[in-house]
Amino acid sequence: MSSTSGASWPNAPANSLNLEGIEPEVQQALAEVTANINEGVLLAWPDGEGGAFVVVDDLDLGERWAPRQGWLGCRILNSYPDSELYPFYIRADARRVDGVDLSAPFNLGQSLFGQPATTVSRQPNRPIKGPRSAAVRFINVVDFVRTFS
Amino acid sequence: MTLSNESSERTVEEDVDHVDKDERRLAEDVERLERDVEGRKQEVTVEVNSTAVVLSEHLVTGLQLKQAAIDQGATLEIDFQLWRLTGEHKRDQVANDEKVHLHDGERFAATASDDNA
Repeated sequence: MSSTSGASWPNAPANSLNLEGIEPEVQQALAEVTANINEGVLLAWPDGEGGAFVVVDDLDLGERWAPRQGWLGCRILNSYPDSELYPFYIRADARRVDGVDLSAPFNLGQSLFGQPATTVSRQPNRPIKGPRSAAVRFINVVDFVRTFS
Repeated sequence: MTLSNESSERTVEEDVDHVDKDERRLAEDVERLERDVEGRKQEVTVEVNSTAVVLSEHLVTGLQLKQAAIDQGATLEIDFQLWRLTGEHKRDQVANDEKVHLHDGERFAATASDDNA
């Protein structure tokens, strides 16, 4: 995990590696994401309730987006893994490069940790439990953002 | 002397027989060890959802790889989508009927699909 905030995520706390107070299961989730998302700049910090915010900054959102680079993140609740990673968020000013308005599962006008955002409202079509569930969620959502039509 | 010679000759014949048997056993042992070594050379270990999966075949289908991973304790279901992690920023989708040539240490991920919520 990096302790440096990316340019498009100005609201990340300076100490992004402070995992104090984060539930062990959530720390495990962060480790899974760190091990499996080998791109962008990974930021994570406590949410104050035992969970964590995690953001992949400077991520390639894919050719369907303008701007193409941005962040994607979510909040991992303290109830993880009983609760899913949901929803995910991307930078608020990202739009379809073909000019078509964003529609479900994208919802404009949201925020994550005070950062304006667009939600990506995707959920697994079945419960996913196990040692890679957090990483699987990130992989799925990143792939969806890059390939939706 | 004759008896002694005959006895001595039998002993030599028996010795030769023993040596022959030992040689055959040795040859069989060598053959078995060579088969074991060859078998181990053919095994390949990959990683599926962070779980080590050992296969005896290097060329398998996506479906076979998922089934082997399930059998060896990886967290996935047979209808998950399989991905080959080819490096930083890269994942290649592997279809169920697609043949993949496995190499030691390769990493794969199998994920359930999402729906709009």
